[in-house]
Formats: sequence, C-alpha cells, structure tokens
Amino acid sequence: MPHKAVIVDHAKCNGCRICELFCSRKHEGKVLPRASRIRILPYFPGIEVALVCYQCDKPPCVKICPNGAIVRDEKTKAILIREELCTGCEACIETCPASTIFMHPIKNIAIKCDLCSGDPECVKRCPEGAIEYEMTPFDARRPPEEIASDLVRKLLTHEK
Amino acid sequence: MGEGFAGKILNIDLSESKITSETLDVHEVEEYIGGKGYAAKLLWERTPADFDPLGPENIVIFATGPLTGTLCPSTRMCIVTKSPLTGIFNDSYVGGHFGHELKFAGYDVLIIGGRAEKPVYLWIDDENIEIQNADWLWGKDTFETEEKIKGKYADRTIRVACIGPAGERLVRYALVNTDLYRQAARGGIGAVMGSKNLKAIAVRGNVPIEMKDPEKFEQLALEAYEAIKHSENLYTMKRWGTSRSVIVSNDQCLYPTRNHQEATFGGAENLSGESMERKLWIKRRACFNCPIHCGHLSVVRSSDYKGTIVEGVEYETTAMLGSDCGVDNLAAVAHANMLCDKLGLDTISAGATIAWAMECYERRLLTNKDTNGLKLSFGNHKAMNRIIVKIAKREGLGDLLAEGVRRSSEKIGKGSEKFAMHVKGLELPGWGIRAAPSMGLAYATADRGGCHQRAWPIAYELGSRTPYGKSIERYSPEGVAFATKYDQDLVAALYSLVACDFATGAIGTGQYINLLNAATGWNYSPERFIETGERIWNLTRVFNMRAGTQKEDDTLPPRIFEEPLPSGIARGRKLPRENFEKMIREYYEVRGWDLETGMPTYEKLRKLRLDGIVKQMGDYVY
Repeated sequence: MPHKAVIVDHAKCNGCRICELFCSRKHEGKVLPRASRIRILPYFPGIEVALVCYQCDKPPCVKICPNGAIVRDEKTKAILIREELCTGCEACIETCPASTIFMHPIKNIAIKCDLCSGDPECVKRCPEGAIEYEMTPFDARRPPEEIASDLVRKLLTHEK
Repeated sequence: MGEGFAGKILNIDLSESKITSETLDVHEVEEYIGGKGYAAKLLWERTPADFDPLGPENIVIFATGPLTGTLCPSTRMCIVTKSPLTGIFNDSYVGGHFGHELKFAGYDVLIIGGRAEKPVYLWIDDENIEIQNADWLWGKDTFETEEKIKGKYADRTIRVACIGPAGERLVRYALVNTDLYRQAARGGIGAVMGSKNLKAIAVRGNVPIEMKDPEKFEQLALEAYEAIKHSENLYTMKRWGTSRSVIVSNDQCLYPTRNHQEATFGGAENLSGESMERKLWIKRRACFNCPIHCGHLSVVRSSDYKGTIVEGVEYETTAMLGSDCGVDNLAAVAHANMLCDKLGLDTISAGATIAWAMECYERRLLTNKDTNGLKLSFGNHKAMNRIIVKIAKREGLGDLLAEGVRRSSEKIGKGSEKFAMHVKGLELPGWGIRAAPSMGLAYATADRGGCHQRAWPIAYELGSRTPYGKSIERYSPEGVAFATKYDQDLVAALYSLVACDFATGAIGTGQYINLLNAATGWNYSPERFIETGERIWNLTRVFNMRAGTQKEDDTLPPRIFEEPLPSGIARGRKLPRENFEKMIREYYEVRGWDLETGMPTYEKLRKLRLDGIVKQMGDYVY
C-alpha cells in the first residue's frame, strides 16, 4: 500500500545540513549531526545524496531484527525502533538496502527516521524546499552510490 | 568545560610526533572571544620573535569560535599562521564543514607545529588521533586527496582539509582546501602545511556542544534564520552569490582590469552572475548550517573547456582571473578556477601575479625566452590556464611567479615593482581603489596585507551610512579613517565568533552579541564587543611590527597614486598622495598609534589590557 514518507529531491539539496541539525535537536534536544535520522552525504564532484528511510512496504529491517525491536506504526506507517528492545547489534543497519539506519553516536542503539509522528521537522526546515512529506508510490530503496552516479550522469554530463 | 565551547585545544608537534590535548582556558578566551582573536593571542605567545614562516617554528592554528558548530546559522572557522607570502600575521577563513566537525570532535582549536620527516596526514576521530603516513597521497590534487581519504575510512561524512601540489611545492600563495570547493585561500597557509610535510587533516566528531542558556540560544538562532530568510539584501546573494557584484563593480569603475591599468572591463557582462546562471549553474551549494547558500555548482558543457566542473565562479575570481588578466571567456575563467582549487592556489593571488606577468610581457620585461614561448598577453586565456599549472609545479616561469607579485617584481626589477599590485606582499583583490579611495586606506592598513575583508568603506562611498550614522562623500578623505577603524574592529570581533560576512548584515551585531552571551554566559555589551575587536586589531599590529612591518609599509602600489583611470565614470581619477597621507595620519590618530612609527602607543596597549603582552615584547619594539 502506498503511504507517506520523507521524500528528498537530491538534485535540489544544497548540502547545508540544516535538516540534520533540526532532526538531532528534535530527537536528542541537542545539535549533533551524527545523531540525525536524516543524513546528507557529499559526493564528488559536488552533489549530495540525502539518506532517510523510505518506510518500505516490506522492510527487511523488521524481518532481520533478532529482538523484534523494529515495528510499524499503525497511524503514520513509520517503521520505528523500540529503543528499550534494541541491543545495538547492527543487523538492521547491514540489511538496509538504502543505508538509512544509523548507530547512535553515544548510546548503543540504532536510529532511523520516525516521521516525527507525522509532522517531520526536516520538511519544515529545508531552505530549498527539497524535502517533502508525501505519498511514495514505490519502494525507492536504492543505495546512495547508485543515486549519486545517476545524479552525476543526469546533472553533469550529456549522457542519458 | 565551558559552555559554547568543546573545551579542548589539540596540539600536534610533527617533529616529535607528539599529540597532546589541553583544557581550553575559557577565562583566557573571554578576553579574545575565540576564532581570530584567540588564535592571534596563541600565535603571539607560542612563536618566537623572529622565525621563517616555512620553518618548523611556525605553527598553523585552526580556530573555531563560540558560535561555530551551533544552531546559529552561517558560521565559519579561521586558520591563522605567519604567512610565507607577507611575513606577517595571516588569518584566512573557510566555511564548508571542517571547522564544525573539528568542534564536534571535541576541539575548539588545533595547533600544528614542527615538521614531519616524511609526508603525513592527521586523522582525528574524537579522542583517537593518529599521525599517518601520506606517501600514498603526496602529489595528488586536492579533489583526489579528499576522495582517497574518504575511501580509506569508508565514510563520506569525514571532513578533510588538505593541500594540493602547490602547497607541497611551497608556492607562497598555496591554499588549504576543504569540501572540494571551500578554501582558506589567502596568505599561503597551504605552503606552511607543505613545509611541515602535512598533506591533510581528516576529522570525524560525535560530541555535542553545550550551551549556557540553550532555550535562549535556540530562540535567538531561530530569529537569525528568520532575519536571513526575510533580508532583502540577501535575496541577490542567495540567487547569484558573490557574482551579483560584477556589473555594479564594473559600472562603478571598481573592477580591476589588465593589472589595474583600468577599472572597467568590456567583457564584464560575460563574467556576471546572470551569465553564469544562464550558462553554467546546475545547483546551489551551501556551507554547514547556512540558509544563504551562496555557492553554485558550475558545469562547462561545450568549448575547449568542456568537462570543467567547479563551484563558483566567485566575484573575486571573475575579477582576478577574468578582467584583471583581460579574459572575458567565462568557461576559461571557470576552468582556471577549477585548476586553482585542484592544484591548491589562491585565485586572487594567482590572478594578480599572472596579470602582473602579462603586463611585464606586453612591456617586454618578460620575453618569449622567459615564458618558454608562451604568449602571455592580456586576454590569452589559454596561456593563463597553462601558466597556472606551471606555477603549481614551479616549472619554468611558474617557479618565479610562485613567489607572488612582490618577490617576482623585486627579482625582475626594471620598474615592474611600480605595477606590482600588492600591500605588504599580499596581492590586492578584485576591488579597485581610484574610484573609491577609502578602500585604499582599508588595504594599506589591513592586518594581513592587501585584503578587502577587514573593512569595506566602498559601501559608504557608494551611499550607505556608516554604522554610527554619518555619511562619507565619494572621493573625499574626510571621515574615512574613523569609518575604517570602526569596521576593522567590528570585523575582528565578528571573525572571532566566527561569523560569515554575508550573514552579518542580516543578523546584526546586537543579535550576534546576544547569541554569544547565551552560548557562553559571558556578559558582552556592544561597547565591550567592539573594544575587544580593537584589542585583537592592536595585537595583530604588534605581531606585525615584531615581524618587521614598518610604517612605510602602510602604503599602496605607485600606480594608484600616479596613473589616472583611463575610462568609466571615474575617468581621470587617481588617489592624490596628499589625500592618502591625510587619511593615514588620521587613521593613526584615531587608533592611538604613534604618528612617527605607526606603533600602538604604550597607553593604548595598556588601555586595551595588552600590557601583559607588551612586557613579553621586551627588546623587540619598546
């Protein structure tokens, strides 16, 4: 079933990482980009790829978690990590095809986008309007390297 | 640990391979705010009175400020050292992401001294610090170096500051490159890193910065975002970046052309932001936490320069590698820009030095034999791009030009010193003087030599009111001294936060002070803030005098005094020497500096509580 997720237009992203700051502020009460649930990866020669969970229809992370710590929220359809059950084994991080689950920089838990209970902070803060909270028609779970090479082709060369 | 700071200074002695960290003395920092101010104090205290900038005694200080790495938008870091180009204090600034990452790794300041025996790079991963072999990086350009380090640690979020081949070969205006296209470019800090055999610094940080009053700070930071969002002035900066200034500058006779022989350029339209928007730009790029996003990624899709990809072209580069070299081919300028970033050269000094060489070539002071057959005439963009590579490699004529315009002209002689456009060895940037003489005073007195970022009184000559409400009449020396002093002091304080030039107008000094106080718990007033800027300015002056600067060095290239502008609205204008002398005399007066020597008087230093430092100066000056 299609559902809403945080969708990024990578070509519009300017790499300012204001989304990271406000995400970590909202979730941790502190400005700490490495605790953000959305991450901006810079790629040569000057493009960015935003990593944020697509809330897949058939999420491999839910399946692989040995502790049943990853569950889908009924209301928002967000895939949530229940902190108290997470042991930091990183199985979900390894299995995520889009690299959108991260280790917390201080606590021994995995973290990911929880859609801010249906009101995503990053969407409101992006100065480029590159981040939207909209219906996603497909499991767009491609690895960042692939997105980056597509972007380079699309933006920087004549190749189709 | 103090609020607003990460709390530590990281010391690296490359001679001894020694890594130590010390607790930041926040009370000591308070007198200098951080950034520029605190780094100036550290440079003063931790270097001997007389030393070679390219020797192991020199130190490179990477200094963040109390607002770096916070929710406050648009902050930067500064890198301070003794410049191999000028032989005096040098502070160069860079946005990007490196400084913020350094602070998240737990260090407000990184100090690198000594000299490694073999090429090394520094890896900072929070508290795990390693000095690593860099044989595999030596010789690589800046882009490749950054990519290779990110590849080695399999982490694209690592931040890298590195030098290119120009830094390795000690080109005196070699830069430090970060985030591919963000540079601490001026004054040759890359050569200092090269002299230490330090190829790169890579950093990853995981520690949040604590605020004294987090709620208040957040509220103020959110107000700063709003101010930037609604600023009318910043609309053009957001859309066109610094290249918004090309046409205005050209119309006002401020656009250096053919080595400052003129100040209007027929090809300015080609180099304008509008032209770049049409032909080159594909997306915007921003520094860490910056809603101004002034940068643009440019792609050249046709012509001989097809395949060029670079961020820019910034205004200064359009002037120095464009009009000042007589080049109106935008793709060629973009390509030259990319070469400079990649090879690690400051586009301003490179452009100015090449423009000087072109004038020498046209006047037959440099011959085809000197240039190895290269026709180095104004407008020859192919020759310009070729000579850039030669400078970075120190090949042929490039070896001479790698010394910068002051040393090059001293070597060539034959009157070429008269059109060597520098102050204290730092090549003048892209703003002419004869159509806005107040800028002459700003250049002549800037602490790092010919620099446009310490005061920019051009704005007042073009009609803006000074911060204290007075206006300055165009071409008149009246009131320029105080306005310049005021700007210099204010900027020194703002650069200690470390604020970015483009945000300061929208956020405002008062709001910055509120942010500073909320972050640190200090009690700065506007008066104390500007007085601290004055303290910093006097400290860098004392440093420079100790390093050999004399009052006579506070001057401008003879061309500015002697040759009237040939065209444009300021046609016929030069800067009359008596006007300059009046400005400089008044400047010493408002500064409280000795009119005979240009030194800060003892009373002035005592009033600024720099007398502790005066004692340390011992025999050197007093």
